[in-house]
Amino acid sequence: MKKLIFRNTDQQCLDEVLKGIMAAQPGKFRRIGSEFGYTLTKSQLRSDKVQIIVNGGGGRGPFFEGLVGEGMADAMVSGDFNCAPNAYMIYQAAREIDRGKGVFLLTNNFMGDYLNNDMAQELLQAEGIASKVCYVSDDIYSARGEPKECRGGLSGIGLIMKTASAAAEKGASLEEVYRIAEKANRRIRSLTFLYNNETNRIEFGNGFSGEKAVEEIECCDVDTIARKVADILLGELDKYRSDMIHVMINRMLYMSYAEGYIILNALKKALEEQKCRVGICTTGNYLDVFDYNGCIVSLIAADEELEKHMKYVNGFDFAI
Amino acid sequence: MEKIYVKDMQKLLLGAAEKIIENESYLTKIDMAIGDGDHGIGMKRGFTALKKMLEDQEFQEIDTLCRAAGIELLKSMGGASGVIYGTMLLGGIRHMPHGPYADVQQMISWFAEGEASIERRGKTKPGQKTMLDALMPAVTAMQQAGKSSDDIVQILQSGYRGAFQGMEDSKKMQSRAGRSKNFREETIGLPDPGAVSTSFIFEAFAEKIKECEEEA
Repeated sequence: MKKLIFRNTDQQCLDEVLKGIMAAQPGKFRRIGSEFGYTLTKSQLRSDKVQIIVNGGGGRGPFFEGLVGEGMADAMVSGDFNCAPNAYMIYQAAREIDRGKGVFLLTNNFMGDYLNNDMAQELLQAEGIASKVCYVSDDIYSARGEPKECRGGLSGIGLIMKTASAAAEKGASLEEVYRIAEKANRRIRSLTFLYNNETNRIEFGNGFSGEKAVEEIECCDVDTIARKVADILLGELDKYRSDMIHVMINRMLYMSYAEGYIILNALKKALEEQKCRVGICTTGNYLDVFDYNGCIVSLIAADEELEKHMKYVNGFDFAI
Repeated sequence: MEKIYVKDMQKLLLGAAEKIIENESYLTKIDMAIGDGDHGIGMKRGFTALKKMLEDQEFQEIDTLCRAAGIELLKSMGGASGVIYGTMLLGGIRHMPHGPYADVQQMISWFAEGEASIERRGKTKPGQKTMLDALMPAVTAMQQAGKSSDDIVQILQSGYRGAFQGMEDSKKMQSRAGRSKNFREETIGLPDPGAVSTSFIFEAFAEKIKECEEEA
């Protein structure tokens, strides 16, 4: 994984990322301090709604440091690089921003994230603060042979976050926000593919901790790749594929802006060839844990209820 | 030694912290091979915080010490490790007396319930290539030794032998839990990083208790 060249010390990096974000958008955020994790909250919190906290490993693109804002989360907690934030930080953030309607926690389904959110819930419960957690499991290539809920998460969490956030902003209760997020999680699928310049092949299914590719093909034109991606993801979506399909393409660290849109165009065509109804399409650099030229493609199949919560959400320098 | 006093327990925990800090690069190396490479650094961070706390504070009661140590790990470590090692110390805290020492059986029960709490929270069992594969045999060995002995030194030495053997045995296992399960059969042949850490912790316990006995 890419080492940061432009930095002071390793220890200062993530603290300075947050300071930079705050400098770029003055007045928008508040820090909750700790030497053992990184928390950012909105400076103005609505007091009449469920608060949403998104959390996960740090230092890898807008996910998670850049996810606090309008239409997104009310707070984010990140750990060190690629490392789940600790339970105490999550608990502290939740206690700080709860306004009596409860706190909805959203994280990817990894062991560290699961353990810390579960423990945070226990600490919150002891103080009478209501909380629910949704563990996002969009990575179709993880936990092969096991049920969907055992899979890990990739960048699909961004789509689930905006769904949950839209529901909370419209006044949904904690239970409702949780139910909607879980539904969105059942209807989302993501895969990774990347270019390996040593073999000149396209690899599918690499995990971001170096898990090996599940399948590889000769490098070919993008329409062919897009058809393959559409086939795999629609196969995974199965009975949901006739609902409205929204597309998010996360460019990995070395994929260019141009390639992101070329793939987006090809994928939209491929989905339409398969008679899909295609809704919002976005591409951006959201999560840069992968040191490659490649991307993570996420499809979410929205039914009528989810469709109400689907809209473009603009972060500081990206749209989901 | 039939009792472990709070000052000795503090030395044991400090010894464990130092052992983990010393071995950070080794832990990182194994975790790079079959995990996400954050285990060594995370453990070092947490056990450095623990070391500082143990050096700065004095405790009168053994349960207060163990609770403070567990909370410190929970607060300072991210990833899975903070919760797991925090739970190891906190899960069985009710067995530790609110007084200056614990006896052999209390100490064994504390470890045993810590192990059970990790299983419960992690929805994991021994055999899945996790730290439990060192902790469980350590607990079993201590329980076994505790049937015929009241000597804390012997008990903790048995615990270390159990943990070490368990760590060795974890090499043969294929990971079924945590991120490393996606590495599948590639995980065979390497020990689980969490099991290695656990073995180090018990190694430090066994060494330090011997020192405590010699000083006494």
